[in-house]
Order: sequence, then C-alpha cells, then structure tokens
Amino acid sequence: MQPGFFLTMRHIFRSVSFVVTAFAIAIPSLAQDLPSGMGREDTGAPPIQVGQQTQFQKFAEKLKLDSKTQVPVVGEIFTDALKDAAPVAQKMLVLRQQLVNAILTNAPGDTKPLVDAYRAEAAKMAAIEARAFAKVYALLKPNQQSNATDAFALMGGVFEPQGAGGGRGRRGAGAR
Amino acid sequence: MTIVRLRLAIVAAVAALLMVANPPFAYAQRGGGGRGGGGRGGAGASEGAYPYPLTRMQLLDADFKFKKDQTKAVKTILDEAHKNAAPIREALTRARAVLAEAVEANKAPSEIDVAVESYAEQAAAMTAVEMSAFARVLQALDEDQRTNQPAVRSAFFLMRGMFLDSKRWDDVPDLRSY
Repeated sequence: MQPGFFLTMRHIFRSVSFVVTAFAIAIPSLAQDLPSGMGREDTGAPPIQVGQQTQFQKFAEKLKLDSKTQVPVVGEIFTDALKDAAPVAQKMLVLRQQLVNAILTNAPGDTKPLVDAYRAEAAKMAAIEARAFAKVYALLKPNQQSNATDAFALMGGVFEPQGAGGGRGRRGAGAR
Repeated sequence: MTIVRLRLAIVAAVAALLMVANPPFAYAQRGGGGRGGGGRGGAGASEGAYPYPLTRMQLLDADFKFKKDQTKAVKTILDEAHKNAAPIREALTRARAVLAEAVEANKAPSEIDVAVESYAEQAAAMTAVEMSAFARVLQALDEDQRTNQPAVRSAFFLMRGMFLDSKRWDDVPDLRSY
C-alpha cells in the first residue's frame, strides 16, 4: 500500500474545516428547529424530521432543554468547544489513517506508538467534552440533571467530523 | 443576526465547493478513481437494489460492489471484530459514565483527569479494533476496489463507532460515536 493512500494533510484540513464550519452553522439553527414541547407552538403539529437527529438534537432532547432559554446557551458552549476540538480532531483523524497504513504495511512495531498517540489526543478530546459538559450541567435544573449522565454519552465524538459515516443510510432517498 | 447567518452560509457554500472540487481523499495508484470524482454518483447500481435506508454492509457493498466470496469474507471480518470489541465497548461505556459522574459531582481536576485518561485508553483501544478491521476489509478486496478512493474514504468513516452497539454492527449507521 502506498504512503498517503487515504488522505493527505491538505485534504484532511479542508475536510475538517468544512465539517467544523458546517457544525458551527448547524448549532445555532438547531436552536430554532428544536420543539419545546411535543409539537410546534404555531400549528400544534409534530415537527417534521428530515433525516436523522443530530447528536446535538439528541443531547438537547435527552436533557429536555428549553428551546428558548437553554438551547441557545448550550449551542454557544458547543460552538466554543468545537473551536478547541478542531485541531485535536484533525490529529485523531490523521492518526487513524496512519494506523490503517501501518497495519496494511505489516509494521506491527509502528502501531503501538500510533495507538499511544491516539490515546493522548483522545484524552484531550474527552477533556474538552467534559469541560463543555460541566458548563452545560451548571445550567440544568434539578429535574434535568437526572439524565445528565446519559446525555454525556451522547456527547461522545460530537466535536469530531463524522465524515461519510454518520447517517449515510439515509442518502438513498434522493438518489434513486 | 441575519447578516451573520448569511456570512456563515456563504462560508459553508465556499467550503462545500472546495470539498467538491478537492475530495478529501487523494486518488491513488491508478490516477483515477473510476467512479466519478466528486462523490457518490457512482455508488449507484448496487445501492439501488437495497431498500432505504441502507445498513453498513449494504453501504459497503454499494460502494465496493463485492463479489460473492468477498461479501462473506467482509462479514466474517466485521463479525469477529464486533465480537472482539465487546469488552472494550463495555469498558468504554463504564469509563464514560465515571467521567460524567466525576463532572457532575464537581470532583477535583486530578480526579477528572484520571477519569479522562481511563476513558481515552478505551477509546484508543476501540479505534485500534475499528482500524484493524478496516485494514482487513481492504485486504479482502481486489486492486480495483482498493483504488476506488471515494469508496475507501466512505468505508473509513463508516468504521467509526461501528462496534458500539452490543447486538450488531450491520445496522443503519447513526451518529453515535465515542
């Protein structure tokens, strides 16, 4: 397998930049899209769900965040965390690619340092998630706190690019 | 606020155009990428045969167009990896919960750091399983399939979180991650 088979740094940077930008745009818009109750206030009809819920939507739903007062604040917390997470996510992506190449080239001695490096970056990412979660937790009302641990599970990887994986199962809708 | 949104939309549009013009995966040996550079257009024939939405295996098949023996080989690889990932998955879930509880209890930073490290160790182990399985899948393919960069790229991202579900990996992918 030739070096650089999957990704080049330049391409990764563009990809990550795009995802980060898209995410930054998506979060504020979610604040409007999330229903505060069972349906929309104006019509009473349930919201139309186009595609899968985002992780942020699931997170907000799990905590039953108030769409007017809490969701925008939590959105800002996530957006700020996303900025810190972007370089870490980029390194994690590169390390995953390097790990595959090391395995493909039968270089078992190379995999351990890569896994160790990945663990260090994963720790940075988990710390970013934990800091964001702490800020969110501080905003919660007592009745919302009971779901906080489950909500934190939904934050896993929320600041990393999902690439083509997440939600791809839906893509056939328009294509065929 | 509207102006800010408009700006963000423009940035997103430019970024999207960059993505289309420069797919994030470099094309490899054969200089081509056989299936139409920018995207998923070529994933067509097999994909159309599956009901919507597609599961992970269906997505892989749609992208790589497996031959019959390859379907079985890939399934075996991913079944094994899913089985091997079981203890890591459980440890990962536990470590995540411990970290959440540490934050909720406003524990000292040193205690949170320990929880973070513990979680990161499991995250790295899970990633190693995913990437190892991915490499084995690639090894099960022939040259034409391996040089299909859009398919390889899609599969690379598809691996993320593939073994998080305790029951099965071949499900419609969601955004669950770790």
